[in-house]
Amino acid sequence: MSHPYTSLPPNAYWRSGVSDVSPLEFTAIYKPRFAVSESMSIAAAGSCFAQHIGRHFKLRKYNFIDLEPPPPLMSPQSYEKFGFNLYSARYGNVYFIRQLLQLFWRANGIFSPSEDIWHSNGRFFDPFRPSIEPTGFASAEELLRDREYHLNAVRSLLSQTDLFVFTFGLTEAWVCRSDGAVLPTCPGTVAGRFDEGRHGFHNFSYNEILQDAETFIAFALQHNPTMKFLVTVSPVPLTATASGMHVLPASVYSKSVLRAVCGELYAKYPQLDYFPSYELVASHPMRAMFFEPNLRSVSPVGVEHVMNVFFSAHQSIAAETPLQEMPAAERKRVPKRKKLARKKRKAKARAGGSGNVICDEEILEVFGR
Amino acid sequence: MTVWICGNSHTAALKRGLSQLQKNGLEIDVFPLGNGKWEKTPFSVTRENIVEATNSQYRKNLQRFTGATNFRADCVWGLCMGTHNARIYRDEFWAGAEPAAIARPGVRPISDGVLDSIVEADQFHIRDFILRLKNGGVKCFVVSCPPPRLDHSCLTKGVRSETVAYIDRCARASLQGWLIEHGVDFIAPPAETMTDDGFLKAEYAATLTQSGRKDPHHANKAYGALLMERVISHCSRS
Repeated sequence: MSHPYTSLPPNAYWRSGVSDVSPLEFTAIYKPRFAVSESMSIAAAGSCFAQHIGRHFKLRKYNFIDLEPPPPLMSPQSYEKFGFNLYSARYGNVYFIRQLLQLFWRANGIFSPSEDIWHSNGRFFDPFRPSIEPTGFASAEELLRDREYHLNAVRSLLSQTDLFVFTFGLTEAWVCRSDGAVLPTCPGTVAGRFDEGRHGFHNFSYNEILQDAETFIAFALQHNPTMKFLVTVSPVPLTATASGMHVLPASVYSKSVLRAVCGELYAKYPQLDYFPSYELVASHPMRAMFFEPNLRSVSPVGVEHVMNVFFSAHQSIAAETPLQEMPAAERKRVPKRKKLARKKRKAKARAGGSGNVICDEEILEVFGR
Repeated sequence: MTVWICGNSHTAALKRGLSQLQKNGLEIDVFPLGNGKWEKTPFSVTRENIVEATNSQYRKNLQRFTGATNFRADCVWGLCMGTHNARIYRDEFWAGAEPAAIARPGVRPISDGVLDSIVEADQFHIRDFILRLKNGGVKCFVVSCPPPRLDHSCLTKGVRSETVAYIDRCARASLQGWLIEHGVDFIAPPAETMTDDGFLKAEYAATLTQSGRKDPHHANKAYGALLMERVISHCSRS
């Protein structure tokens, strides 16, 4: 007797899709919904895991937007310390979708948070990117000039973006009680001073995150109606929870909420794709093999694996898509298969270094108590 | 004890200046190690507590003028390097960016922190070399390169004079702070050779190269003589 489970592909069954195959060789674990071509202008933001995504787009010579590139005279070893070369502008880690939304609102003059400048030991910090200058700005004027330039860059970002990549990181945030401004780090950890009267804990719910994500998508589409989106969930667990729960269930809760939001977005928006970086690292069939011994940091091998799954899938569909099905302008830009393979080899060789991910959470881990 | 003043192309003015001076019985001479561009690359190494030049041009010149390929511990070394800040301010990047403290609206502001990082990267191998000398028991001090010139070609390519002055001031302050921290003396440019804005006065600027081309950034013999007077005075005291 026929039923819906008789004719499914092998990857639809747990045994043939997971338990009987090497976790390094899951077939079709990611089937791109649309091609990401090298001609697309790509912007990225997100939690610290998102740094890897941006870095790999650049390494593989995709058209990755960087509106605040490092000064050419700077040593590459200092780029990350100063927040350069990580994302499409110098906004640092964006852990929450509301933080992303507020970033674009600020850039467009829609939102002016009351938390303006943090002052500490004669140095000045931007509450919304507190680690962008490791020892703070020299003066409030310097900070304000830099912020103005930065927000101008952010304002122009969406109109030139074909693909916006966002990595969801956390649900637990610290917000300013007066206006709801979301801070990337708890005041007092990286910079600033914690004040219970001004700063409150907020664990974003599924509904809030979904609504914020939809608001962002609508906002982005106003700037470019053909924009596509790629969302992922960072596999990096929470460093610490302020929820009152044990950090493990708190972490599973956060990631589950974020994963569920991604699922809902994927179902609703055909121009949005989901890439399972969380599953490729943190799900139990991976046996935690891609985590460092602290079971939190993703190892360079893990990052490499995740990125190879992503780019292999896209290179496969680029190679499979008949040229006549592509618009003429796009056709010209499609590299030949040999060129693609060469690029892939080179990118792999270049990506050999582990790359130091700047994670504000690491600071919290050391100085948090 | 022989005093050797060596370093980048700014040693030429010092050599010319020295020729005009009485040495007060001091055994002192000036020679170039080589082009200042090599200061951005590793150029020294320590082998068995002896500091050697690894850059081939530096090594060749060191041997040519001193007879040895190492920086001998029985000599005193005056290093004319570390304040050749044209390497930083002449970059075309500064036509579209300015130090944040003086940045005009719409121009990319560069914070003092980022600028410090640029300066430290520029001085990295020079500081490394000085530390090698210190650790090897070799006496040394640093002789300033001339201040920037108001007729530098970068100023005609969109870099503001305020930017040049600011960068030069920051880079000098950074090096001098580091030298103080490590107990190394610094011989600054004589005040009378500088404008209030920190530029080399026109009368102390070299005009033409030996081949007759316009010299865009070196100082002349008069500057060299004034600075070498300070060097001789410093060496006579210590």
